Amino acid sequence: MASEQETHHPIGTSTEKSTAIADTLFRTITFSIGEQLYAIDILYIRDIVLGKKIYRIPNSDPILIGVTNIRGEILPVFSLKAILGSEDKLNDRSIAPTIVEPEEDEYLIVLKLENHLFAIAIDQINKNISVTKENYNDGSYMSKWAEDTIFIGVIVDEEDNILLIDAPTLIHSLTARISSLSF
Amino acid sequence: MDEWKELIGDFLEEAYSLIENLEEELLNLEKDLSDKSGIDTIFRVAHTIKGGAGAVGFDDVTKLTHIMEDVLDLVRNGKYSFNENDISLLLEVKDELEILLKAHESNQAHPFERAAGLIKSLENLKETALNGGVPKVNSDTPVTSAVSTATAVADANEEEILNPIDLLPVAARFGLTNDQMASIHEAVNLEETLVFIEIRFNESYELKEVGPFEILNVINSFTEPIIMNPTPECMDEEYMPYLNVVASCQESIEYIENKLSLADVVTRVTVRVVSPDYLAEIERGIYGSNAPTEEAPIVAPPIASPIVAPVVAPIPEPVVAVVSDDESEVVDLSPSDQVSAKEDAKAPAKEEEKRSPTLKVESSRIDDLLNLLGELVIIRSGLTQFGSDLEKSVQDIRTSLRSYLSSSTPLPLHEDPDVNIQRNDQFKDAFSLINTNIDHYIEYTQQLSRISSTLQGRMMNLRMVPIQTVFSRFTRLTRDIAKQLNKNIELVMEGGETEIDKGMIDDLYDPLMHMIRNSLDHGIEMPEDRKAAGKDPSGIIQLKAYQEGDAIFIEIADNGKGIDANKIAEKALEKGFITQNQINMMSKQEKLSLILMPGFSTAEQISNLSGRGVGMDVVHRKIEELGGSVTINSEVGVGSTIRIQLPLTLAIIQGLLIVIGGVHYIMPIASVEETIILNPNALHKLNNYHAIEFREKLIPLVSLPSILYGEYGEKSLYLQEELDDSVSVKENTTPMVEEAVLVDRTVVDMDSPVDSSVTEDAPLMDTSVDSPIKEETPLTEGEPLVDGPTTEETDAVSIEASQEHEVTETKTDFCIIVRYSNRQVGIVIPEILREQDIVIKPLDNRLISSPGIAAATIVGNGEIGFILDIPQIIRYYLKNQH
Repeated sequence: MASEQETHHPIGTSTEKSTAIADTLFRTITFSIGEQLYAIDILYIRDIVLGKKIYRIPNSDPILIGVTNIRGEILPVFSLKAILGSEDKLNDRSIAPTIVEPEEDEYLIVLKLENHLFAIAIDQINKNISVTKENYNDGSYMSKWAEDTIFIGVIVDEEDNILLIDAPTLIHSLTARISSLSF
Repeated sequence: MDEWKELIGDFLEEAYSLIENLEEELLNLEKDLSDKSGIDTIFRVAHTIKGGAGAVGFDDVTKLTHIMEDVLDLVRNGKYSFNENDISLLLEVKDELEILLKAHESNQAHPFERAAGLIKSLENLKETALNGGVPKVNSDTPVTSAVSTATAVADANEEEILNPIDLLPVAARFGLTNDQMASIHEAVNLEETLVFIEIRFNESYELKEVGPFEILNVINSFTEPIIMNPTPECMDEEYMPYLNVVASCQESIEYIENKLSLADVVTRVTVRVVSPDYLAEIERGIYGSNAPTEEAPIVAPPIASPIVAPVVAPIPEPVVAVVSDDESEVVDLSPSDQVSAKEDAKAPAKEEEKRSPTLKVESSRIDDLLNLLGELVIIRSGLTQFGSDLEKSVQDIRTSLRSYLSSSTPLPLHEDPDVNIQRNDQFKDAFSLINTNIDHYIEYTQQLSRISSTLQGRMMNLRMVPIQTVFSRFTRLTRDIAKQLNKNIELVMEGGETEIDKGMIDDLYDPLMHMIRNSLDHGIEMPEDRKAAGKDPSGIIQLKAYQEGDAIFIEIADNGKGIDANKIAEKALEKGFITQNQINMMSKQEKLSLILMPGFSTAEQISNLSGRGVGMDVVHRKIEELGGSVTINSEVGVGSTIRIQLPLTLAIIQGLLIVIGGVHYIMPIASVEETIILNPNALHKLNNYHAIEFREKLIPLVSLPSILYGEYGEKSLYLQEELDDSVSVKENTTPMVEEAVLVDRTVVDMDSPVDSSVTEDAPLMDTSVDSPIKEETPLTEGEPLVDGPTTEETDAVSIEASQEHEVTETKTDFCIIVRYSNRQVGIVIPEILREQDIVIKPLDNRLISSPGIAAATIVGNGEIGFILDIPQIIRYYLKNQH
């Protein structure tokens, strides 16, 4: 995974502090779920939308909130909270059994990779952070111990430790999970 | 690099389609071994593939096609006639070519042994052809022997084996056109010295690609070529193992030969000084006894690549036609020639057919357009709806203002009477303008409707391909398997031109193959058994496709031993699929349908062809996935017919729009048999299952909201656990579990189409309630169900319902009767909107997995609707009941 990351770093056209540009490994968008901050490589992000109606898919995996229509494309919306093992009120089928009506402060990050277009629901969008050697601790070695982890590193931003989500691992774990379901 | 890839891609695509034809041609050839046009076509295929493979550097393919071409050329020249074994060999070569190409496509190394073996066999064949073949020494040999060089004669035996060009007449070898021949004539008559130089390059030379240019340099040093084959442009483009030059030259033959005989580079140099006699001989070579030239116009392939052109193109057509007519009287025609003369009339027509200009477009592009068109269709529905809403509003205004609009009574719009009259006039004008405009609007939307429907139709047509593309693959399969089984079987195909959605083509191959294999293996008996049964020892399998209404039908019929329905039933009983009681109540058709159940196989012995017990189940599933159905008919001793019904297209379907919990669902019309309003009087409760009595049948009911949303689903009005005792009266004790669903008591024969006549014949429980039932599915498009008389009927039912169940709202449940495993099942839903064209938007099935949801669509205003897969949803329901 680390090698894959290295290939995408030529990102340098930004309004960010010019000093950072030279050393930028890649850029991320950070967001929060509850108190914890997460980051994801901007390369995979196709869109950030809010206030979308989500249609539940009957009898589907609990991590799948439903599908939504983004510019004529129907794409699945996953609950990152549920993926990480915590509760998500968006996912409560007793409250909204068929349609999840849009609420403010509910963001969807639309990701595109490996021919999959999907969204993850998060609480709040944070700032963009350029990742440099200085503020990034690579953690890809961790996959040896924790096979299922979707995180590959930590970005240190002032007081915060931001967990970097590896989108390819995320999509693989999702497809593996879905294909293991049978009915 | 990308261009290179593109080149390879183009070549592969062309080669695959050529190879596909090749098989067909070979099989045709097998039927008529002397079919000249067939041999020509095959030769052309080999030749084109060879050229293309050479261009992209697929050496193995080049080698294999090269030798194949040689052999075919010998046959073309009448030096050899094919026998059946040769065809088998060529079929093997075809298979190997396909394998080699696939290996190249996926960049995998493929062992060359098999190809090498085939090359060897072909070489042997060629050897036989050259030695033992028809000793028809045509013009080629005399010409060569007329030349003084001794080497040429020796080479004629050795080198020609390697170089197919040497089998061509002289003029063709030099690529001489008629005009050029005339010029040469003239020059020779003016006593100019012309030489014909033929050079064959050493193909095993390391730097073979530069050879032709080295030689060209040498030639240019002492003379100037007048005519070259290949032309310098062709040489630049591609390496050819030969170079033939016509030049004006004063040097001696020996001088030229010495000059050009570069060690390693060339294997043979032949030089001839052109004399008038020689020219005459050449002309005889072109027009005389040389058989292939007669067919020359056909040789120039429609897909003529520049590689082919220089070799074959030059012979002018008109002259050929005239002269060959004359010559055919003189020249001793072989039988095949006579046949070809007959075939001549046919051949051009066939060519014409193949030549019809086509455009290859990536299917994804068409799909993109279809997506856009889908949006358009949605907007069109919206506009139409909007138009009728507008019309209705105007109608409402007109009704409420009728007195003002029609009479002279003005509306009180202003205190001042004069101004009031003025305002009233303005209002009336504006209102009538609105009316006119709405009329225009509706007219335009109707036009838009018409155009978009036509567009939709045409676009769908783009996705349609003749089913022959699948059918043609079975000729070979049947032939091979029949031989393997020692059976005489003829495959008869009909309706190959029937067009079918491209998306279905690939998915159809497997199911059809299974069925044909079944017919081959189990259907058609051994010849001796057939004889004993008084049948023709050779069996017939008929593959037939046709369109009927909105559906495509494919039938696989054999005149074999048929399927014994009772045997099937016994087997099913043995396997525990059904009970004896159920068997007793089954019709023959139902018993036959048992064969479609998973894990069912009647083959006593598992052969390597079929009988693995997955066949018919796979077929059934696959066809269901495509939105189709399978029916089986069979008569013991007479044969079996399996009929597949498929929808016309996959991209847009007709669907019944229903609403569950505020979400739109689409029930494909293809799976809907009837829509009825749920009549509480006809309800039965059998343990935990519900059923409805409908036309003297008990139809099990399932509640769609509960299947989809479980405990959160909208509760059906009647299908609650606590059902009124008065309703659950009937004496049924059979539990409505899966088997019961499969074997619900059938009074009416399943074969007979369900039609309204049944309604009339059957004694109905309550006519007044049942009358809406006659309001059968084909609802008029766009018209909401709850409209007009239906509304009244609905109310009538509801009122009755409310009396019994104390339900105060005017709400009813609908029941959609669908077919599952040849049984009727009622699906209970709360609301039906209308029938509509639905554009299918596939869901990412690697991320979304939900039983019963086949795909999605955008219904309007960006709302998402889910398209239901009815068989799957019933399976899911039954599974959960266990």
